[in-house]
Amino acid sequence: MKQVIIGLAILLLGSTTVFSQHKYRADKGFVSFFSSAPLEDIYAENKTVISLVDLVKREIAFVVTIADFQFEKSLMQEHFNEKYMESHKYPKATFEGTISSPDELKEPGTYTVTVTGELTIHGVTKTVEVEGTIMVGESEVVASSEFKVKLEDYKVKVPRLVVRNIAEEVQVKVRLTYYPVQ
Amino acid sequence: MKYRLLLIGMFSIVLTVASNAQEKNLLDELSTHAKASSEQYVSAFKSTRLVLGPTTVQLSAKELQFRVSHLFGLMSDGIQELFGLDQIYNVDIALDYGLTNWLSAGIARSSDYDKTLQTGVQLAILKQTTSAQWFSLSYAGGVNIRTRKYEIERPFIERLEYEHLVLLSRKFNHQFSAQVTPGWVNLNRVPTTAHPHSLWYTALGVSYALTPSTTLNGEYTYVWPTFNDGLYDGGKNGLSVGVDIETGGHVFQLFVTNATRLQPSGFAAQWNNNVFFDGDIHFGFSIMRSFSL
Repeated sequence: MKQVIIGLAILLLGSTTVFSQHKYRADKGFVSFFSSAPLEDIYAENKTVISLVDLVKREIAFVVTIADFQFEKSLMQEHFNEKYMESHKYPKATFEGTISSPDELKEPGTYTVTVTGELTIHGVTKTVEVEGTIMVGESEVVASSEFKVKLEDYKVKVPRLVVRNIAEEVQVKVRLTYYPVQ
Repeated sequence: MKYRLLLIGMFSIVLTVASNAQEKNLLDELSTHAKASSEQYVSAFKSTRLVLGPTTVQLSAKELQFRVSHLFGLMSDGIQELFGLDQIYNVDIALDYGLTNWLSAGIARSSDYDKTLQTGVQLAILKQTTSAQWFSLSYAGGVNIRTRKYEIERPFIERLEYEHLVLLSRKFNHQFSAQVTPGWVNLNRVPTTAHPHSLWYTALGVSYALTPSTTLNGEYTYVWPTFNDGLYDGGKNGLSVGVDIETGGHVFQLFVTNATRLQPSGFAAQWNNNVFFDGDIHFGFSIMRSFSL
């Protein structure tokens, strides 16, 4: 019976600690987008991105609250939410994917990685592959990336009257600082 | 001994399965942390004007809005006058500026008979939000000055008109909004002694989104019959139907109305209006452009 208990204890310890050890969370992540069109440049940023990254399982996930994008002009912000992103119907954009890198992401250092996964914006899910960097520090992990998103891919409709104001493709920048999950 | 090993084996399988089940994928785990969507201000209408009357839409701080409204002649004049398009009845040019997100001030000038120069402020008292606040409440008020030449010299005070409006709106869903506007207008000079100086009215406005960029709007201004029956004509209460087309920073409004004046002090004074259902209506349009300074 002693052996059973010891066995159980080892199993319990093993199964609970191994998985959470390399899990990091970001609560105030940053994401911005920039649209450059003949008539107008549009920029907005969001500082409430939440994300989890597991450096052992090499998984990463994001949740972006659409209504938290801040624009310079309040009219743009209103149109962004109501006309284009329909944030009342699709309040969040999400991403879930896996990280591939030739290196083990254990030692402190900066790694160039490729992240592949499912990006959901405006209720439409697409498989995307983006390049990024992961900086593993003493206690925190910083992830950043830049990529392009084509509005048409996510069924974000731009009326013909404003095609010269809104770019077909927007430049997205992501930067997140993660801390270990307790 | 064999029995014990078997037991350990079984336990380990059970435990691994259990711990795997607990180990949800990252996105599900995040979703449990995700807060509800943050509060946003909801604007009930496309622009600061429903058709002729003001809406609860508030200019943001440092936003400058330029508006020009045109009103053409009577549509009942027929094809000879191209349904009124041959004449320009009234042109109203306005500039409004958001001093803060809650207060804007504006100036406008109408080419009507009195050459009315309008000054006004709009104060947002409550703003509807996505969940916490279910309606918007604003105050709009102003002093208008009739700048036309009088045949005989009149004291300046007689040129003034005052407007006080309370705007109460609600966006019911993503297509339908409505507004109730109780208003009081005081005209220091009226055509005859039978005409009232003080006019009370309640305007009802509705807006229905046909597409994300276009809305169909209607506005009815009920003037309370507080004055002489012979003078009061219910058919002359302002009735306007319009379409808003929003293209980013611009809003284009096309409308028909039985009013001949474009400011509340003008269209609340019933004697300026025609009878809508006699077909004596005017086609008009407004163009609004916002600049962020």
